[in-house]
Amino acid sequence: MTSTVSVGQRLADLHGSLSPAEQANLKLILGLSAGHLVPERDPRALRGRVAVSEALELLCPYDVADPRGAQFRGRPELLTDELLSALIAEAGEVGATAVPFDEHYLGCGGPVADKVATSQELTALVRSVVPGAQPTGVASYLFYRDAGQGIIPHIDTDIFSLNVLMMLAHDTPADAASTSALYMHYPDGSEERFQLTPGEVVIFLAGTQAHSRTPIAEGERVTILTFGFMPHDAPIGNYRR
Amino acid sequence: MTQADSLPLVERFGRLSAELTAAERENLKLMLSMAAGGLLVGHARQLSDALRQEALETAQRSLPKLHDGKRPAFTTGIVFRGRAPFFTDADLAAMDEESLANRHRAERFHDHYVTSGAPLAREMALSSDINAFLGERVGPVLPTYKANYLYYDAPGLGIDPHVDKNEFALNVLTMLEHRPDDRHSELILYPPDQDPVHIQLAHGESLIFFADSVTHQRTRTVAGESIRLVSFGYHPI
Repeated sequence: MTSTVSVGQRLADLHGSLSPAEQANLKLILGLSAGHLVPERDPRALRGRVAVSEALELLCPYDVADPRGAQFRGRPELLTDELLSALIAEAGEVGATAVPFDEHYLGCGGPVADKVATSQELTALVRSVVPGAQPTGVASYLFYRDAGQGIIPHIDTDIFSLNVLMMLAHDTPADAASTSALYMHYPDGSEERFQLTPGEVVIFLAGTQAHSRTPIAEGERVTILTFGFMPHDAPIGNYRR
Repeated sequence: MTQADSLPLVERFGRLSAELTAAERENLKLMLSMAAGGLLVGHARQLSDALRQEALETAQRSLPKLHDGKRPAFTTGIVFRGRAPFFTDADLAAMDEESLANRHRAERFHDHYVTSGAPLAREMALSSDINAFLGERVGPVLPTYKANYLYYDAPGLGIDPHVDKNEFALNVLTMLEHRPDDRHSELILYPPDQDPVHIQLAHGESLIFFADSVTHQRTRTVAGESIRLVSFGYHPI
């Protein structure tokens, strides 16, 4: 039998005809598949990555020209030196009680981060590159402290399907041969390294774009603050913990 | 909503598969196996156990569905386990010897070593005795001309949960050597809706299973452990 529609399109069509619970299940399967396919190098894996990426991109709920890679990278105006200092100080407090979680430590937001999460300035910045996006109000501090901590290639679930990732601090030992970095992995097998400096922000569609953080070395520490955004009029239940 | 739309996702994958070309079906199979494999090795731990379990069950139950109508009823995916009547002691000894002799040309594939197409193994894979044995159990099959010696003979070798390529849809896997007697590495099958099946093959013992449908892995070897296997591929027709 010959089919004229791609597998990715067929999966996207299938998604469209499922119940919300089964849609979430299919999306999870596709996301897991995309993440696990990243390190595979044979041609079969390439076809798999292309198809699963196509399906995820067709299901992408955001109206952007290209859902791949960073939608924004830089130090935004809203992040003044004063605000950055306040966030770093808050990260220090939150970090004391952060819990180990999937190869890093996770802390909830704090008053400063929570205020930024729903601020007009941040929403305006996100909407300037991803029209219609709405804040979920979820802010999380992430801490990579123990040698070897990082995160393998993956796709985020709905809570962080649009992720604003802010680098707060990256301490490296003086003799470090290489440093941990954020990577984005593309369907053709290529990847892009994002070596962020404190204060730098990356906005990307984490529910579509496979990404990872390479493991930190002995003595290295990375502190990140992330904010979740969601599509306009999305079912809020999918986007809050 | 049409009648098809109301079917569970597992059945929908089966229907989708029937509309695909063989290459596309292979692609869909890879995606599902990668999702199952990812879950089995602990990906997506940030999600609830219930969500992860549902996704895993969906992927595991969907994999056999990709071959609906062309396979016998699927339970564990195991067709036979034991000392296969189609191998004599002399056959096993000869393959053991050929496996050792070909170790030097084995190539690394993921986290183990493989020698493909050694002459004796290839000839054995075409045996009419094997074909008849398989035919009686799963219906007509064709050999795929794939015969591999597998080596897990250094610490840390193994293979994470996966399903095999089409060439090894029906896999006749035979243990040539596993030493020392105190074994650590094992084969684990993850059939849908059942507990994992842990398998330690004895010397000369074969496992025949639908390797393209049931997710399986070999856990990692430890220092001093060495495993050699021979694997023949068949395709149900």
